[in-house]
Amino acid sequence: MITRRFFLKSGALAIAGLGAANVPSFLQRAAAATEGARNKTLIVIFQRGAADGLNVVVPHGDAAYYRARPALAIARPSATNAEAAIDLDGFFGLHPALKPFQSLYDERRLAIVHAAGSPDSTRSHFDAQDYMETGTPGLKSTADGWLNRYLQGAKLKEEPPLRAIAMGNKQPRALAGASQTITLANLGGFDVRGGGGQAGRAFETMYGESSDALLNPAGSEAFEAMRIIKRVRAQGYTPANGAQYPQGQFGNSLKQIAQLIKANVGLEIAFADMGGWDTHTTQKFRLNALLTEFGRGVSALAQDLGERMEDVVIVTMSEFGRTVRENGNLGTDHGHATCMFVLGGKVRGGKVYGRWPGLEREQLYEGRDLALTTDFRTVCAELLARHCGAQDLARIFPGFQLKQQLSLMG
Amino acid sequence: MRTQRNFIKMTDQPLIAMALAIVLIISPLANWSTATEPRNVRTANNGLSAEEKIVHVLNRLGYGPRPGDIERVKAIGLEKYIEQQLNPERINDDALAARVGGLETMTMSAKELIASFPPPQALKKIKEAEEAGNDKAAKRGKLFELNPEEVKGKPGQILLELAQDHLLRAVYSERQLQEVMVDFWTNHFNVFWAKGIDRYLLTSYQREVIRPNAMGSFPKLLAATAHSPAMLFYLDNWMSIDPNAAERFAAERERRGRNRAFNNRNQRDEFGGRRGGAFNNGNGLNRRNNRIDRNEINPPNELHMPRPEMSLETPEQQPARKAPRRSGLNENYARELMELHTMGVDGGYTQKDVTEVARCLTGWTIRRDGDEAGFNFNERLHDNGEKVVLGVKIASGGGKNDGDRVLEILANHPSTARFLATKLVRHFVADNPPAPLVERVAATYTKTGGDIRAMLKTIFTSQEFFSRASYTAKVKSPLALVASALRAVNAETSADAQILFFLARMGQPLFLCQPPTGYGDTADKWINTAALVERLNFAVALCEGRIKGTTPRLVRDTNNAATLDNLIETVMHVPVGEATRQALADEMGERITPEKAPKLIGLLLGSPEFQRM
Repeated sequence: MITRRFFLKSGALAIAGLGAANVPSFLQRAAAATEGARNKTLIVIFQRGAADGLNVVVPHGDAAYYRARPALAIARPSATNAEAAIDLDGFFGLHPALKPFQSLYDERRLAIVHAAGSPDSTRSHFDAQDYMETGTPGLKSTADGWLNRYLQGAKLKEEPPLRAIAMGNKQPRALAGASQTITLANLGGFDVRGGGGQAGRAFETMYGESSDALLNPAGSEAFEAMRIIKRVRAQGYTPANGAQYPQGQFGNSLKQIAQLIKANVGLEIAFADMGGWDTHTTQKFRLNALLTEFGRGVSALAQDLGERMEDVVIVTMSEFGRTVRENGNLGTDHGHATCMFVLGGKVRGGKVYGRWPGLEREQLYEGRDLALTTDFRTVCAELLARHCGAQDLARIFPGFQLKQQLSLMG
Repeated sequence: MRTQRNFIKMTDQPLIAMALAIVLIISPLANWSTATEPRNVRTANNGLSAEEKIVHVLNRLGYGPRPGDIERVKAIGLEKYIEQQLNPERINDDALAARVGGLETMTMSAKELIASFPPPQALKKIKEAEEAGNDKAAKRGKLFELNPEEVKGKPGQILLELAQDHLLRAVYSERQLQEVMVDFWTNHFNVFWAKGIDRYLLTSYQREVIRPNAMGSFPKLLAATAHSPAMLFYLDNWMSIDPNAAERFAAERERRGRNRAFNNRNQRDEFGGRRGGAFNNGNGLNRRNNRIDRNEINPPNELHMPRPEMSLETPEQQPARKAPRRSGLNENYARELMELHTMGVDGGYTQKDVTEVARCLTGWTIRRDGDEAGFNFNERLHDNGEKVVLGVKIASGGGKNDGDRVLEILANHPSTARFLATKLVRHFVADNPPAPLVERVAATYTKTGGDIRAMLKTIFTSQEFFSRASYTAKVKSPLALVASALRAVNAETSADAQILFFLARMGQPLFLCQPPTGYGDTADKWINTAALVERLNFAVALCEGRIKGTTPRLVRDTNNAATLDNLIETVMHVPVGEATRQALADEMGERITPEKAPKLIGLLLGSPEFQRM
């Protein structure tokens, strides 16, 4: 019997070539082993607050950009200007604070999708984040998140408790749903202390046998996770390859995700978010600080994971972008399309994907925002299918027709 | 021979009748004896028992029972108790006042708070200037009310006391319902403490805007928030300006240049201001330059913040200020005013309405004179054109009245009635608010013009509220859990930072909710693995006396005479499931001893049953 895990590890072609009946039993046994096996991981990083894609990946080749943002535009690439954009392909450039991404791009590991995001017209953070996390823009009634629906469709015989993790104090909508996921702020704090060491056991029984339909599973999950995390913690952790995560919650979250991946606990989905992107005022300084932290974090993660990055894909997204024109407060207001980063796995980096719609007035969305040419679901569907092996995309993104193929992944 | 049937003769009937009568009289009496029955057995008709109703009210209209509370409510009667709680001003709360009296910052104005707890960077700059002998810069610091000698501490102290005050009131106030409502509105009209100068504005916001209006008129509360510097800053309205203002000023300047003051001293320009002289205008603002003065749209002087993200310009941009400044409309507040504060996201407004409301609210900004930080309507920044909001035409030239009109329209809108009713019913009854009750509460809102007390009364007298489906159905928020735990163990606490950190790790750092949506109000928002682990840890730490500044007196007072049933009843007031009971029994062993008390009570406070209310 060929398990899904083996399928993911060895690749479809290898198995197809052999033919199901011809898979040697020793391979089957290897496939059945779950503990200690490497698996594919998808890390989703959500920039909450609507990240200004136009200043993150700068369309320096587009004159309209400079006309619209006399104060805020990032200067065209220039050897003498440290604040200028870092050129990528002659048209697009990176915000200077994303210097760590330059080598990732040049090494063809980092891909960018611009003018991407959610097609819904809402400019409410709350709604837009909800739509992006439930994977059904425009529909408020969706109760679960697209990542949870992926898990539901890819059930394992033995579900590892740490199969899906969100770093933080609140479960993100993207992970809400029938499949068990865990939200934790810190590996270190993840234990029940006191009661002479016995409190944990007593609580475990209480919750494990409680008739409370919500608290029973929540409790049981918690204790199973605690056991595993205790083991992981005991091993200690030092980032590899000289990776240096930025100080603060974001860097810490990414570091712990790396730790869990390397501990081979079966982590398949990881979610982290970073707030503060809502730059209505004094954007220049704030975006600089945000991108410094963001760039350092993501690049440290890639560096730390090293060769394990072939099994890991990182994708970043934000609920919408920001207005093309700067506002009167040296900031930008809520917009529409923005940019996404993808790296890891078999991602074909070194390219900006998606069709650039242009920034002339008639090309803008509602006359004010960057128009959308790539639905975020196109990106996510491709990653789920090609990296995670998902087959039920119609169920994961109901009502969505996958029309384009970005061919982000090799 | 007489048959059996005939045996029952007429003469026996009175005896039988008497026997029947006695049986009929006695059987109802059997239900009255509660002494031998377990207290919290459910009644046959599936409604709540008298005791359950009391527990339910104490849990929902407050932060849970303290030892003795149930008896106290029984003594005055549940209806009377609810009536009292609906009129908190009549309840003596001196004991609470004594507890929070020491929180100095809670009575300070924004100006006093900045003087006493200035941002460390501002202070540093003054000190550096003084040390460098740069008198001018040092004096500038003093001019802006920052005097190093007056400094009492760091801004974090303000947040600490805000949170302490909130928690202490939840635990100790006799006006329990009022505290529940203060928390409800604090959340509904969320302001994030850490955003810029909100750090200095939130204290007076709580004290003067939320608290006094928490149980009165919603339109009044709404208007108070709309006029509050805290909200105006948080949602950026203070800097929202008529996009045409710059052109207007330029045109005005030109006009002035052409006409001598003398010839026009009695004339008025189209803005209603006198042309007589450059300084002759009712606003009291600097019209000398007749352009948008930087100070008009910057944070008030005494709130001078050197950190770039808190002022309008970064240091690099300041030299370039000679270039004409573009002013702009900021829609942030207008949107949240409708989406989150009044009509709700499905309330029926459009993007155009958001823009129009924003136009109405231009000029609603923060006063920047030497006095208190307060509301100021700056007509120079106001878009005086005609607007249409939700189909209602607002004529041009309305000035401040535009914004007042908007608030009126929103407060009276049926979507507002429904949105608020839904939130209140969700809060007091169930995560899934029963629609019929929501309708009735919305009707109360409309009928009473937004009377909060009346809406609450509609809820508290409803059969949905007192239903089995609602009983222990909600999961406690972290605040409710912590407060109810402290009350359950009759804790003596000063609500130190350690407890507040627990709250944060459980997912509810007080006054630090960044998005304007506030914290959610349903079980799924609060229960996740990490938060659950924190709840368990809190329960154990509290009972073991490991929380600094907090003594769980009940734990200390538990002795060998207690039985397990007693203990469960005393702490929980609701029955516990078999699993919890067994865990406790295992822990207890033979009997309860003072040594085992911390562990047993800790297990109870961490039990699934105690997470619910």
